[in-house]
Amino acid sequence: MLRERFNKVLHIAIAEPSEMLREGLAILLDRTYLRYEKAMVDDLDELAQFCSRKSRTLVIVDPILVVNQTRKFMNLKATYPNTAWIGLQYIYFERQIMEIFNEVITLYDTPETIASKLKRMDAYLDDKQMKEQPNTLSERETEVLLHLASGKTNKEIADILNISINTVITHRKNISQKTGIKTVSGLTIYAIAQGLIKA
Amino acid sequence: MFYFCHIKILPETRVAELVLENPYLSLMLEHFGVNFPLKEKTVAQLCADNNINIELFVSLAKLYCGITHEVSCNLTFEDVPVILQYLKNDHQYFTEEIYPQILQLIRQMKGVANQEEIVLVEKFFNEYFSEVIEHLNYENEVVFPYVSRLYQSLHEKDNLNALSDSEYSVEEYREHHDDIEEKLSDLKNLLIKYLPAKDDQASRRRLLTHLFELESDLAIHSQIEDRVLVPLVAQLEKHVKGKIQ
Repeated sequence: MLRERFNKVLHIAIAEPSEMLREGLAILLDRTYLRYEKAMVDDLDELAQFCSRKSRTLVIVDPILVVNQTRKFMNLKATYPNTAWIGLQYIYFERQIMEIFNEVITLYDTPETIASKLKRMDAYLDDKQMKEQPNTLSERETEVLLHLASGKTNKEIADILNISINTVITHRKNISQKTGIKTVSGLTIYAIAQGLIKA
Repeated sequence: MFYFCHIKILPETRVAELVLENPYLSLMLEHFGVNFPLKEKTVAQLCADNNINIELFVSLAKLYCGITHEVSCNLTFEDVPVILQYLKNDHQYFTEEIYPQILQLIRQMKGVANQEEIVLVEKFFNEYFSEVIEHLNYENEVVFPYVSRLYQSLHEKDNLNALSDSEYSVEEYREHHDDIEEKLSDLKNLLIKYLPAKDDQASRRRLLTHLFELESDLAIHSQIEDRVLVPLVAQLEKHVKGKIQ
């Protein structure tokens, strides 16, 4: 489980018109233990394009992009609920602007602080997703479900997905909690009824 | 089926009143071998007429009303054969009455909807019920005969020797009492939340009602075993095995 959490690839977008800040931040991110794919954009339009391609993203935004286009930004925020918005504070911005963000990174943050803030935002998204769709299986849970339905054991599933048996067990617990169905044969019928597999 | 009862279950309570409050007590009466009509008989009178210990009757009636913490501690070893017969009757009720009824409803659903999911539900229910049967058979073939021998040895010295070799004890039974409730709960969840319906609303509703009843009946059944039979047999065991040594 721990290993999986460490190996998780985050999608990070940096929306920053200043090349110096953008590249500087990217260098700091490279010094952290985070595994991530990053995208660099200069304005909200490009950012919107990026968000539309990724299901969930951590976006680090220069508040200057928000100041004169608050409405546009709020629209973006509403359109992509699976995104965490992190302000990059390098000068004073009004409180109303900074309050729009879920988290703030300042110029004096160390790479470790930045990493832990990003991790926290990722966990926040996990939480939010769980709360919003309590009974929808995640992609990983669906994978585990399909393997279970095809008769595979926990050990086999762990090997195939390259995760630990404990992680498989955790996924199974979550699947049962979400669906209300505990036995493998019950879950198989569930998978068929949901159109995930054919009888 | 568990059913809350507002009337106090006392020796002077009229049995008919109890059944009017909780119709499922009629199943209990049937298992005790008591027939309708009940007329104005009180619990005490009915028990006297049918050779049932009032304490046992009241304890079981309370279990059927969801009161699980008031099992009498005044049961005697003479209640053992009565409880065994009661549980055997309950087994028969499950296998010969409830199971065929449920299976018939599933087949009806299959007939109406003709879906692959329902075929799987039938298979699933059969799997589930064969687990139930396995458990009931274990009781019929291992536990009940053991308890019977134990009881007989109270009165016949010969049986004492046979028992002394017996490695079995009621503690094992307690451990064997495994959980067969998960599958039933899965089935309810599937029917209520997930299985797509095709004009089978009425059969599905009836099936659900039956499943809830079955679940509750099985729960009461294991309550009787765990809270009434097992403690009493543990005492009997101690008593008899004490005599051997």
